[in-house]
Amino acid sequence: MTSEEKKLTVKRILIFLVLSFVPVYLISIFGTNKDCEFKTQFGRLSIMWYPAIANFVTRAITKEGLEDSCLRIKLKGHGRHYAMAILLPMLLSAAAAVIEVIRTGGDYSFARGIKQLDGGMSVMANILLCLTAAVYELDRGFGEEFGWRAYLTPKMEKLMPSPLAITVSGIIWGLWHAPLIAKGYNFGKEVHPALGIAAMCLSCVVLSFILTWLTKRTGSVYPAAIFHIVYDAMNTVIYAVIVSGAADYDHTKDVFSNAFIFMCIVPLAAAVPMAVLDISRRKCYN
Amino acid sequence: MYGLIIKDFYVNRKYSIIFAAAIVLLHALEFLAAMSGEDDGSNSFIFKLLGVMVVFSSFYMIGMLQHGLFESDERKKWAYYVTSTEGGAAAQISAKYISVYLLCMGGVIICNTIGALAADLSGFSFDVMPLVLAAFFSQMLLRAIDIPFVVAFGTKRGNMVRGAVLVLGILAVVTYALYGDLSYFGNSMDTFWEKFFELFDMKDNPRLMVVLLTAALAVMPLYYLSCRLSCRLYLKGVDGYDK
Repeated sequence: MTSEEKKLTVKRILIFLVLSFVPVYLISIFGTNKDCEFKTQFGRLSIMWYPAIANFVTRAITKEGLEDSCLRIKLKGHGRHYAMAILLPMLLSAAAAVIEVIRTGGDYSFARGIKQLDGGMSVMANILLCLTAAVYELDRGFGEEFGWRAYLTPKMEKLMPSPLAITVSGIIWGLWHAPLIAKGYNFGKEVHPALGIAAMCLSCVVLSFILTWLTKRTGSVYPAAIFHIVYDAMNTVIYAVIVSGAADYDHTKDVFSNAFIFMCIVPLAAAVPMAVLDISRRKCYN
Repeated sequence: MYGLIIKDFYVNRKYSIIFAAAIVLLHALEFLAAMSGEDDGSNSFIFKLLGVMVVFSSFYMIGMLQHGLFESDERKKWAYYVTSTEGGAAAQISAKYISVYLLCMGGVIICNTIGALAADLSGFSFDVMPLVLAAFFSQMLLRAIDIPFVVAFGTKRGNMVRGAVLVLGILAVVTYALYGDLSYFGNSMDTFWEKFFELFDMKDNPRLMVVLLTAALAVMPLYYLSCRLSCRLYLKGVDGYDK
């Protein structure tokens, strides 16, 4: 890569970062209240679109075109990757819940948990609602993944080795969430905001390895988008269904440690073998 | 297949622009309503009614665009050419199904975004999302049923079949309205609309929620099966093309 090409890549990354960070920071800081609830419906709806918009706008400004945009669907021969994109996030949520139940200890009754959640019909309705959301809110998963996985990571890979590029883009992705995390989103308010942001960065780095793997194996951004939206839509409901049965479980306590297990430790357990196997086979991360 | 999707949107670009402009104009009505009143009982009701009208009109127009996708490719020369390419008939039909899905998603994004903006500006607490969700899955269901007909018999005869189904549906509704039990709606339009809006506020009725959401989710496998069926029917339908 010549120094001119390097300069152009750095310029593209900078433009992309400005376009994806500024609107999201504005919405997160001014468009949410102290409890991290969105003040406007539009803010809540649009916040995940900005990385994708930044991708399109950066390509237009720097006259890059849509080559290597990962917009192709590539279903043929990648059915298992699409299936994995749907099932793995559900498995991760279930695993995190099981760990939480074991950690909480004490008496466990699945039936009691269902009763606590207003009965089986209500639980079923919530699960179905989340599944439906995963179908028609795919634009939101696409919004983030088309920015981070289909633009930032490949650009970073032009400047540094692949594992480092994935790590750096994961950290950037984590920092993109920073204002919301500082207000208590995901990791609660019981720890210093900086610790929450650091945990979010770690979680994003780990998930970045999984999502980049999916994107690279298929050459398409859609499996990563599906993974992302299923993870977002299903995690709370699956977690709640399993964990509510634990007698000593209180969702208002240990928010940080619960979220840390859920968002960092469990995905890490999935990402490490994936990365080791992949590096040994020299497929995506080489 | 990616190229075929791009081709579909390129060929239908004029109609896409016209319909997109029409949908935005329709939503401008919602904006006007949002800007011109406070959230008292009657204004809120009119705002909700307008929301329903705008969402369903938008999806109706998107449905017209979806039919245009099939009409533009109804030539024997094109059909035989595309069948001889690498993806064959499967790629041609899959591209159509994906384009239809993308158009539906476009409808969801436009309606949700403008609905959210209108609600934010006005302070009306009407969330159009459940309505959009219903329109989205209804349209996917209708397309899953009528696309195989369009593929097998051509757009002319396919549309006749669709029209016949629509007329039958309307007849059923009219017959029920004339002779059925309307006491649930309180025999007045106002109560009908109140019940209609209650249908979309399902928080207190998990049983109804389960039924509706299961039906909605069943649409996706049905859509996939419809795609497989259309792939099989494609070449048989080509023989019946006029040109």
